[in-house]
Amino acid sequence: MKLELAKIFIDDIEFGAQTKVVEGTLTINKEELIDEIADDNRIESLDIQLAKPGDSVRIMPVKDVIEPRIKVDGSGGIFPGVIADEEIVGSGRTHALKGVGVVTTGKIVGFQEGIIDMSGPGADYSPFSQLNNIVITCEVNEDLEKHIHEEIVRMVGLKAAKYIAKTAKELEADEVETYEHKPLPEAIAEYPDLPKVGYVYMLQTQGLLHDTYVYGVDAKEILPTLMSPTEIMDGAILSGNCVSACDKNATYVHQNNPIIEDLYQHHGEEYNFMGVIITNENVTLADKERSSNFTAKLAEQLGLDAVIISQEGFGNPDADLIMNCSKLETKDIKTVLTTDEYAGRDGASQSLADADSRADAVVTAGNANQTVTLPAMEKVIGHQKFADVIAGGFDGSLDEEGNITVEIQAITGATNELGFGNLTARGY
Amino acid sequence: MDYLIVTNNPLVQEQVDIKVEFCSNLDEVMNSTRNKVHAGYKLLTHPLSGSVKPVQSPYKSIILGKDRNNKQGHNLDYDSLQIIESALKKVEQFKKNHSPRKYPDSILFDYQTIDFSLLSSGLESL
Repeated sequence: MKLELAKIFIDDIEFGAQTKVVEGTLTINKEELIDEIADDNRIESLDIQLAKPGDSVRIMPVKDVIEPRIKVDGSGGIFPGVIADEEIVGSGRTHALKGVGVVTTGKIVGFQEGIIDMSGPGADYSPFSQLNNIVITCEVNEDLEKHIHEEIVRMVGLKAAKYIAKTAKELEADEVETYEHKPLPEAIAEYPDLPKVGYVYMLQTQGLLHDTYVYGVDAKEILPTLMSPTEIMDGAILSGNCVSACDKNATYVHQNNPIIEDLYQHHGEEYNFMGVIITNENVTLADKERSSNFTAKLAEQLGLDAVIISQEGFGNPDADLIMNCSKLETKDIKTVLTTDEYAGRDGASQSLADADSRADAVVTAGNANQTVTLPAMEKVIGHQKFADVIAGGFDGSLDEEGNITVEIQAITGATNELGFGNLTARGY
Repeated sequence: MDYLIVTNNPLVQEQVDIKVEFCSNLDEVMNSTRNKVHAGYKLLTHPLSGSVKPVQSPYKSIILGKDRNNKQGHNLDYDSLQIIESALKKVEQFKKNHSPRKYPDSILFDYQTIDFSLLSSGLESL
């Protein structure tokens, strides 16, 4: 499987008569976009606003962020099994509008989290503050069940990304990256002297509002399986998870998984990147045992020497992370874990809810309990009044002037466990 | 296997037909679960399920199971004990960050719904 990922850089967005891209500016016909995405009679109101880097704008509660991409060559379409058919993706050519995010927001549950500040100190914490954001506020009939509401908002976001991505079809790329995932015998023969490295990609799958979809299948139901990294770039994995702001993998993060990109960077020089094993994070311990057994078995069958394991979320997934690590290490497959921490506001408490002496190489993406004060913004898109009840908020989080004091777990992407966020750790 | 749900979520009492031990708060759920593990039960779901952190969400439901040939509770499941002890530590830690608070009823109902859905996801896999 070989994928050319053509990037078109967008440095400004505006509303206008025709949806198009000219010299780096994306113009959107607002009415046409609304017509395209609001064809569901359960939607009560839908509005679209623009938020650019540096604007005095707060978006909350954020549900998902999506990058507009379109397939221009090769089988299938972006988000297969959901808004495209079930064809296998990951080959041919894909055009991506870089610097643009489709952001969905809406009151799904009262405590739903997720803040993106477009300026001020909060903007340093969210990787999405640097995007030109097309923000969709979608409200549905209040009697609808929560998971139906989530599904409606999810579909609205995906359809909007698809509509906007059409502008990229005929555009000339600013940059093209080529990624290849060869059949296994060929891949092994190509670099026989390099260590074979894989990536174990843990997906959030605990239940309502904690779901992830793979080719449209709820990943709770899967056994761990092997995927080409290029399939993931074409939207084969998407987020239905809207409760953990700082460390959930938004669809945008799946599309732009930095661990995959970095593994490709030194592929063929330092190691042989063999592919991605996706697995889940279910709530029963039996499911955890089964999935970690299959993950370790697949890694062994692939002849891997080492893997990177990333998790999504906290607590329950820590158990999956440690099971995956210990079972792989027992098979003499070296592991590096990537996670974030809930180590208390002073950072002094134990970071994870599970541990094992074999987990001796761990990369952290930051302490989600760290607090920050976000000054008031001139404009709020969404529902700021929830600041007190979101995760990471506390009584009095929102003061009369509109300042919010929260733990950074309330900020979308702040401690993303794939390292997609802005935080890093340095030794001095 | 004999199943038992330890919970403080009122939705569970109304909607589930297996044995339920109803507790008055999160601490009681966690401590009672630990006591059950010592009495021979195994944890079937993780006590820290859900992305909403313990304490911040006031509700928790945990599914346990006991083999019928372990009625006397002589066989202790050490994995379950380790998991519940680690979870208890984590709950104590989170208490330092979140003082007890009164949520509006609508928010409480949302927390109940999420906890119940996580429980249902576990029940479906039993």
